[in-house]
Amino acid sequence: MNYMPKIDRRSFLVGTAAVGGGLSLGFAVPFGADTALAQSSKPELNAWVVVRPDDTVVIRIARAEMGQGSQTGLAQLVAEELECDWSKVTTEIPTPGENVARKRVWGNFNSSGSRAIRESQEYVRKGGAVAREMLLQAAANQWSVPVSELAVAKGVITHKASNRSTTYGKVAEAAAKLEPPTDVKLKDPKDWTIIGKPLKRLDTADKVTGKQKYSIDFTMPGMLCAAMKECPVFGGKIKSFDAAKITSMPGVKKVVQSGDAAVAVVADTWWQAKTALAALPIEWDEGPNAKASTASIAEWLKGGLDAEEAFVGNKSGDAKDAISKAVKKVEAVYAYPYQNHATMEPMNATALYTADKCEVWTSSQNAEAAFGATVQTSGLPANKCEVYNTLLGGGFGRRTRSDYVIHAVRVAKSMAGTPIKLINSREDDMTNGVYHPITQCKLTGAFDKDNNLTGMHMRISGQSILAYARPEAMEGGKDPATFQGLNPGGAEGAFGYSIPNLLIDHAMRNPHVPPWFWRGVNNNQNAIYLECFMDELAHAAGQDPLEFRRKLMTKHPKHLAVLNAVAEKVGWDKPAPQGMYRGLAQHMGYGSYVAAAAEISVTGGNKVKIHRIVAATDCGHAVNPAQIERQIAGSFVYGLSALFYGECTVKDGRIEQTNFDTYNSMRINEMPKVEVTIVPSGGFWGGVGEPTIFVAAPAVLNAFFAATGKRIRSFPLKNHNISFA
Amino acid sequence: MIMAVAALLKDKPKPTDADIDANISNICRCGTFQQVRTAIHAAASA
Repeated sequence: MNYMPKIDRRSFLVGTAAVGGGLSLGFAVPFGADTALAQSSKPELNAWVVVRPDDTVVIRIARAEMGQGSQTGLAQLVAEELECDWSKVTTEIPTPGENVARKRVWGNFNSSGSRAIRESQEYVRKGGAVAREMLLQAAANQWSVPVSELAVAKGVITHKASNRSTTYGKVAEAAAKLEPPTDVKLKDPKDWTIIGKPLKRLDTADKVTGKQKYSIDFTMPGMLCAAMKECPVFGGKIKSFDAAKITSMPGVKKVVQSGDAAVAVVADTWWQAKTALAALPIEWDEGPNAKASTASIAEWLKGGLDAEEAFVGNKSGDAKDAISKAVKKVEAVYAYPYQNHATMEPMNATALYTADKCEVWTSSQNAEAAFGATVQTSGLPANKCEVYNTLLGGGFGRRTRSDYVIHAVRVAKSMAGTPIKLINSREDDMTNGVYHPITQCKLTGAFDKDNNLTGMHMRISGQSILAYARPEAMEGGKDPATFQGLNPGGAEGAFGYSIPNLLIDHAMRNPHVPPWFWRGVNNNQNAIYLECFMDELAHAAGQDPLEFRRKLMTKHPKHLAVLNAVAEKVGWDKPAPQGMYRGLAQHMGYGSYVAAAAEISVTGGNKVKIHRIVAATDCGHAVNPAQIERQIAGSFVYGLSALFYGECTVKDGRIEQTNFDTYNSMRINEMPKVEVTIVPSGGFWGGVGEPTIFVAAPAVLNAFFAATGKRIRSFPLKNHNISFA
Repeated sequence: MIMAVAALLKDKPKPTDADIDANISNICRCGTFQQVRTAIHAAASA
């Protein structure tokens, strides 16, 4: 059973000793007692479960929690198999250092790609089941009865024949000394009582009362603060800076260069650091990209739309031949801009470096990546490094990158013994971030004389995320992630239509602005391109957009089921209410099938009111329906903010937008009513955090066309003078 | 957001949806607006 290595008590002691050592230095306890695994976290049944004598159960959650709710969902999975009392469950976050010390017993810490639950569900459920078996065995041993005669519910073990009962808390000490069983059976989904229930989140109260501390709130004795500026032109470097000009400014302690493109000012307070940084004379070597602009990038990408060379992502038949023989041809070019993640909590990390230890307090979507960055940057061995991760004030993909940890450790290393808290300003986050990649797309559809779609060519031109972020994941120069939702098959994102002659290909053009994973990633633009074009094809063929799609989807029953679900709920078969117009979209990604219908009105040709969004997801198993509903509602805010407002433009090689005044986000008065239909068909585990974002924009764009007859093909809508009513 | 709602409730103890739309302008990137609206009404009737 390699998913659950035997408990190595020695390595466990190493792990706790490291934590104890940290505490004994007299630091403020970082994020409340729950963050580090305290000595009181005994008896430990296994890496996932601690049952205390008072029957409270501590479930350890390795994946990052950034509001998406996987902390609660994962705890539900463990508790389901454990058969404990849910009202007595709390959670704690193991550290990546402990994970390494315990041979990666918690597996992957990464919360991105909507993977927190779907990629850890099996081993965390087994963790709960193993702990349950050990607790039952301990009771059986105590009563000298066969374990098969015991029953358990809500943490109370009973032996009916002898009318005895005990609790998990009472037998936990003995259970922790047993060998874990090597094989456990997981419950049949029909017997679930905790999974599938709309339980309240475990973290709400602390957030509402302000008790929850984020890494930006972190403080410790003797801590100094750092503000940092990177070369505003990506790829540029520092030529020189004149530290002497600011060293006498209030609070300033040190000016530190970080790498070849950034300089940080360390001061008593962050405001002092920021103020001094603004006064620091810096000369940049802006490099070869100092002339790049949104227009020059667009021009380059435009050339890719008809380029000979392209990587093929999906192909059947001969699309070019079908297009050349078409009775009717439909062609459209779309474009999608750079966008910033704009998390509410800007990037930040606190680092303390000494000759024999480097510790980091931060918020990361992948604490193990932050740990790796700490080890590498500090130059210390892994067993002398640690990262304490807390809940995140938003991630959206941005916090899978550990650049801010690297900078914090570099600065801390230059001031050994002094804790350094590095915080990005909003402006730093906006202008020196990593961005939703820029692409354009040319789509060509071919019809025969009977208005049957005989072929389609979808040419994507533009940026590859993996070429920048994970070059090792490229496949012979091709970025497979470019084709998210457009793949011929697979659990991650399969194309939902059968078109006899199909070609989907990518002419890669990588401008200098660094791209990154951004909630929904390449599905966002792919779904807009494809689903708006499907609407264009339906209208060109004089067919209803739903019926047109249905004919192409007969071999894709799961895609079709969610589309049908939204069509039924929105009442597609009946006319929309007076003055209302509707649009549809469907897509698949991160293991889930999603669809949306939008109902909008438009006044004056450009003022949009979204009255109603109907969304459906088939995520296989729905762990917490209340949480899924909220995630889906929120995904429309994120997706529609991007559609209406989201664009980072480039001038002189740098990003022009600096804050929310020029990079706007939807407000409560713009929020449509989102009605969620969860149609879990079972048998698989799909993601929730991202998928419905894919269909947000195309559903509204198709409704906008229905209302106005205007097809918008470049974004955001503000560039077309279209706004919320 | 919580401070803005506290100020709104001080001014208008029973806010309508229109009052909420007009007075709550905070950004929420995670898009919890439906829950926020429900919570404001719940707080107003508590």
